[in-house]
Amino acid sequence: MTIFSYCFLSCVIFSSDGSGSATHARRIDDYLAKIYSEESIVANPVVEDLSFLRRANLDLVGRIPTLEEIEAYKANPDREKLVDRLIDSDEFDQFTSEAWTTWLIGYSNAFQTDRETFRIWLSDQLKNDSSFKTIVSQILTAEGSTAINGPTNFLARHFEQPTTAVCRSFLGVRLECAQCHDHPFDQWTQNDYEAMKSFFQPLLRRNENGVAAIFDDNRRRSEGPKPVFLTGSKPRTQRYRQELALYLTNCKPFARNFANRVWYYLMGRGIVDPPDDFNQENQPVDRDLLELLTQIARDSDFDIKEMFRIVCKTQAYQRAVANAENSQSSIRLFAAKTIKPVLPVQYLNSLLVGLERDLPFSERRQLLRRLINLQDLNEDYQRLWEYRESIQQLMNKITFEFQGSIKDNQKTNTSNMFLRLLTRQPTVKELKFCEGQKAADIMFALALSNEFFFNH
Amino acid sequence: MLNRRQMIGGSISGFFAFAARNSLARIVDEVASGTIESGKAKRCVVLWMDGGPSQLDTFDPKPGKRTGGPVQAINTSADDLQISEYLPSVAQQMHNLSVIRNLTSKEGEHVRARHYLHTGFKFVPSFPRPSIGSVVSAQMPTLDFPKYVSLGSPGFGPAYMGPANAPFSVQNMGEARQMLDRIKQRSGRLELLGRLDERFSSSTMDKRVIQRRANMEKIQRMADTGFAKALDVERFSQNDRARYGESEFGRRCLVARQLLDLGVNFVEVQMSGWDTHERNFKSVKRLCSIIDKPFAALVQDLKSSGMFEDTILIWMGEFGRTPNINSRNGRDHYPLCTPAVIAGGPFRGGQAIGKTNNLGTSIVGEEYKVPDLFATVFSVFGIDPDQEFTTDFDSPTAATDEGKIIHELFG
Repeated sequence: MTIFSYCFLSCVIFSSDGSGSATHARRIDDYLAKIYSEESIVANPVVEDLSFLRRANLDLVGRIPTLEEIEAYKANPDREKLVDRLIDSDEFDQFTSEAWTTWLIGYSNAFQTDRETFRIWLSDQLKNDSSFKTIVSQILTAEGSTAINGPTNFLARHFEQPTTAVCRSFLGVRLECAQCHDHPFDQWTQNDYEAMKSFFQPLLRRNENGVAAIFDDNRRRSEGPKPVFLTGSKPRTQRYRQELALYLTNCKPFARNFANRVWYYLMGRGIVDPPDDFNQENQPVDRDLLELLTQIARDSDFDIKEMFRIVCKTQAYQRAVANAENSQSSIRLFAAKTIKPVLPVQYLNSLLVGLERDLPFSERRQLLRRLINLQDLNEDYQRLWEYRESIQQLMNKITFEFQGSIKDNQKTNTSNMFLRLLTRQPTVKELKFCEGQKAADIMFALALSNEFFFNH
Repeated sequence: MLNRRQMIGGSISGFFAFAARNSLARIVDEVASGTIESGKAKRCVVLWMDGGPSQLDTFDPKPGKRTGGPVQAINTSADDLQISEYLPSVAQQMHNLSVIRNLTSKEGEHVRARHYLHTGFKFVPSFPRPSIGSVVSAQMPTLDFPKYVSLGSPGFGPAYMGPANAPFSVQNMGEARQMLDRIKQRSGRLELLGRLDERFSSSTMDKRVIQRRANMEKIQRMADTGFAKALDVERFSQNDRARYGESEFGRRCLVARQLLDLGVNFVEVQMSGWDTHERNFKSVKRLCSIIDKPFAALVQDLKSSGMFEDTILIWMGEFGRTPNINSRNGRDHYPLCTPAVIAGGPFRGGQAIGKTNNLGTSIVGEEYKVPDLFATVFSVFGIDPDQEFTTDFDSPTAATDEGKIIHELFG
């Protein structure tokens, strides 16, 4: 294909009317279908409409659908349209920035950083359709106060080990094992680690009246070995971080990691899984699948929303979750969907939707804090879908008191409650269990159930 | 000195004391490798002095010296062992306690030092380490209530020991008790939940769903144990409240005793405020007046209940403080001399391990590192200091950072 027609084709495929994404989704499904027939795997069927509605809502806007949204969708169950509508909404920017901030920075404001400033910046980037390449470049090169310049918060937060954080987040490798000894599973040596670390030689963190700020100090460049990127590239100027941004965002592992991360985020399981530790013992479950997705990512110019559109329009995304009959390989090859626990923000927002309550922002923030284990404030969230709910957390949920949320004498409409909280109608058996039960008790039970807590 | 009761009585500490007189190295090695089952301790209580407690004004006084400040030393119930006048009740219990005066560290920053003294490893952001509480409780059989409770702080996480060994954090005991009572009240709702959730939980084979279901059931069972009662400060007798004092720390110590009695394996009790960069003596005097009675009462009660035989007690903080008194009459961080007091189980009481020079500016003779303290404590719980664990990113790691057992502590 000539360059001209290829560019033309790319333009057509990545037009904003959404049809291009469906085409790419089909490419992925076609490839998977080929694998399944080779491996004699029978893929799970796609889920029903309301299940899809719930799943897409949780993944794209971070909450379950309202009753109105359920009715509207039932009237016109167009899955691709739903995906596009959700991705184009403001809530998408809000939620995705929150989830990705958790991934990149965690929850705390340790070392006088400002997580919320980072999140707001990231939300703006999503709103303005900034490519992932641009976003990461800014993160790597940002300077200034963490309270004003959002992207500075990443390096300020990971100041003690910037190489580690950068490699895990943006290349998907755990280079830090090579800090103390040559990497046991891979080819990285201690020299590689030191050479990468040198890109951050000039980086300094300063405390400006209780607020962290980062900046480059040129005088520090002479310490330690000269910087060398993992691909062997050496910077030609003194602007180490700028050069790092250039090499890193243009290398193949960066593209692969981006593709894998989007896939992991939406599918609950990466093509390389766990997604932050690509090494000789942890290979992609199917190399060509990863290559295909990587190519699509590159062709889209690292357009985050476009990648989301593509993945959410695949059959793979829509498959029913794994049950007892599914083999390990069918799960690993995405013939059966992997369940995900919900993040605290998804839990809280879904609870508020289900109980038909609203809370002012500050109260929401406060409640959210209660949903995060205090010891986990400084944890890392590279593996976003790990189950982190401690016994204590569960107890907190059991004893949640929503002032006046459900009146004890409120008329019990069981079907209505199941629809609001679980996005489905109750079974005959369930209706029987709920006979004679108070509305408050049923709501409570549903809000605490596994079915509510997991994204399936 | 070995008395007849210890030799004949066959108590655990007696066994160790007896063994110590024989082939010390061999026996201790066997303990370390976990082959002596009968020597295993069952419980541990840590009194955590947050901020860095001043060792020179508590357990290593230098009366009359320029670095000693106005603090006088007093005799204790142990021979040849004096401590600060600020801790008179504790002084009466010193025959049961050992003070370590030669523990040294290089971590002088609070966050890193707290991590070091809670995990025995230097803080590395990408390599999470389990707290001592998590490691110890992981060795113990599962209970229907938490095995690791932290009173007054969030506690330190379990890292690769798994979420089942996470601390149960109680910041406010009254609230915690109320929460547990509320759970009990909601048992009807929880029953309904169990029935409604059955279909979904059994249709999926995902471990996480199964785990959550199991946790729910565990919480229901917890409501029926004595756990909530143990947190209820209102139930304590007048006598107990007088002996432990009416401070929050005192109440926490009393609750700790209850929890240990119930069977909780690891309790950490936090006392903050020790970061005395200014007005050191005034502050330390006040802080000591708060901890003095409950510390002593706890030791006394552990002894009289018999729990002392298989319970370890540790008093420590993230680092010590400077011998030099600064311009604000305060002391700054001094990890070179990190204070620790240890008691219970097989440890011989009434001794001072190691010493510092006249002014307290440096350790004289042998010194021990923080991993050594961990190795020692782990060994009495049947954990080999070199035992290997595997992290969730498949890296093998030892239980301690090359820690060596402090033999002197066993007498």
